[in-house]
Amino acid sequence: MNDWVLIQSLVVAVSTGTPVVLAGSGAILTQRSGVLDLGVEGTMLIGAVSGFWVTTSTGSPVAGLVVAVLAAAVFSMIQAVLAVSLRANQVVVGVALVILGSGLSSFIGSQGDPPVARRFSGSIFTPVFPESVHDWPAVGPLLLSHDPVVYLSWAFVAVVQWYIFRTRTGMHLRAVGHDPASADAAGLPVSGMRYLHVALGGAAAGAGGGYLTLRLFSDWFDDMTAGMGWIAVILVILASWRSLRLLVAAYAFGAISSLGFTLQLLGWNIPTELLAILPFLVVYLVMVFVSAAERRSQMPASLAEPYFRESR
Amino acid sequence: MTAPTVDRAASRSGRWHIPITVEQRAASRFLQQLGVNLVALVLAFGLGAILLLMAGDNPLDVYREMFDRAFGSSRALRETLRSTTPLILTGLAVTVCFRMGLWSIGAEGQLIAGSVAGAAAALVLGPSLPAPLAVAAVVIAAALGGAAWATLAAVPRALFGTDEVVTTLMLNFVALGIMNYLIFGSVSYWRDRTNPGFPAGKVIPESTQLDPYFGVFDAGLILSLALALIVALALRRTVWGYQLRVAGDSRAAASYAGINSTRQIISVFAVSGALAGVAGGTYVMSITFALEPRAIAVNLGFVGIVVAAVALLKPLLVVPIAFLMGALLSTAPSLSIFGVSPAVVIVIQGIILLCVAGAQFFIRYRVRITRVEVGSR
Repeated sequence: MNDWVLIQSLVVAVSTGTPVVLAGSGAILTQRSGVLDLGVEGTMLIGAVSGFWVTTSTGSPVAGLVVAVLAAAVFSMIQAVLAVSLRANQVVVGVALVILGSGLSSFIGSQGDPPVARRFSGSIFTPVFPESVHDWPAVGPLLLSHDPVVYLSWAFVAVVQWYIFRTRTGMHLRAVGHDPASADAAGLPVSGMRYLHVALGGAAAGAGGGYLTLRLFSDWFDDMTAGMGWIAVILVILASWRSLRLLVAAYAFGAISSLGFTLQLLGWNIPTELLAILPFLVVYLVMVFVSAAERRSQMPASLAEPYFRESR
Repeated sequence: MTAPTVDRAASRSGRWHIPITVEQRAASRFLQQLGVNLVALVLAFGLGAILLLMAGDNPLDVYREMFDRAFGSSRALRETLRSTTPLILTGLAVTVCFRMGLWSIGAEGQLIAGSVAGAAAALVLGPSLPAPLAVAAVVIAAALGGAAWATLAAVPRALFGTDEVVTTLMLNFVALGIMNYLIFGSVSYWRDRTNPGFPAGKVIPESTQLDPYFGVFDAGLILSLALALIVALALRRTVWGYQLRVAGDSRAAASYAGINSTRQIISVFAVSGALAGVAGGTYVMSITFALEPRAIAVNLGFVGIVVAAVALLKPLLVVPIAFLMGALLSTAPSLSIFGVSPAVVIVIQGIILLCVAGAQFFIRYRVRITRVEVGSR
């Protein structure tokens, strides 16, 4: 494999992995608070369709991304009400949100004039730096050729890492996810923290979904996430709830997902249907190996357990 | 039963004077649970109506049309019952796992594995066997296919504690990919080779195609009803079912009682996978008549979760709930003719599951408005 192929593959891996970076970092915030948000796949779809609608109506991808973030944050409040206030089973709620998000986004896509699903996007996010910089050796394509959302995702990863481990609120967040009863006794607003971080996770998933329609595919079609949201949730577990590790895992996912692109550059021809299986097969195998080797989990101890003050 | 605990903290804490008391119920009655779930069903249609109104459709017209398409004629009833069969089976598959506290969401992938195995059996054995034997062979192959696929999640769960939510999910996508590959990505045994330009599954022999009795229901429905009965009896009357329920109530109690959890997890997963696999097999025999990815991958496994949850994880209740959901599903294609996005059906399913999940709160807790004394600050 020559250097050009390698670098081009890495660039594609970054853009393919970016929705997972955004959604996964958000999911870290949510899961650190003790709520397991399996609905990310549905939340991303809501962000994707609403962002595409706004951008194709206004011509502004920034407006689209903002609406994607807001719509997804609102959508994730369903998760918060059910999981935090009504103490519902979070696996069932997650699956329900994926079903609802899939149906609702498809429904929204059939609305508008012309319907969102039939629109073409004239304006999407474009690289920040001028073309001439992209050709600089190595750093050009790898670091300077991206669109603003990629840089935003890097900033977000750094902020999440700093917030969780270096700030007082971040410490409180970890406490709430680890031992809500003690956090409550110490005077922390357990439910409030959980609501807030479910919303932040939803917002980030919305940004990830928006990136799909406003850059990666520059189009909307039903169920376009095709498992990316599920992958984001699972990579959070593999990354031990740390955003820097998640970044690496997400780009690895991006590289595996875009392997077809690389193989095409190399002149190989492997059916796309087989390549489509690969990321899921790899995640399955990695999960099995990791759990077989693992001694101690770094999972937030109260993940997916509703907190009921009276039953402690 | 535990004594009800009372939460007065909300009104005590000083910052928020919310005049609501939440009490844990000592025990909840079955009929009450069922009633709450039925209210959740109605609520879901109500929320669906709001969505339709916002989109500029008349919900009453849409719902009347849906009712007609589901029950209005014997043809409509046949379509509803055809959609009911796979949902009974995936509903049972989910019920078996969830009852033990195994959160498998892999019915989707197991159904696909069952379709692939069932279609293979139909294509290989169908031409040489008489109809009843050929159908039996397809059912057995589909059950084995589904069970084998479930084992891929069960064994890591039993041996290493690998999270079954994650593995079953990933295996769903792998199964879907394999099915797509068999039809769209290769000229496999399952593919119709007479028309190379148009990828489609090879039609299964007539001996394995299920004919409806009285023009309304076919052998697949009878099989699924029988399996519902068998699962209900197995859960209630066998050692296997008793141990499953014990483990579902308390994993620790099960281990103290000396129940071999490794064997138990694998056997429960295998039974669940076999049920989902049979759903795939009967689907091929009575609806698609070929391995047809676009028609098979329609989230029947996920809807099975909705069915099982609404049915309170009771195998016999799965049957009527699957019938209702089947009716809902079978109306989807006709909605687009009517100018309404068929996605409404998916939205309603999602809301039903959310309402049922949320309704558990009102089953487990009693919410009362309490009097707050004036000046209690």
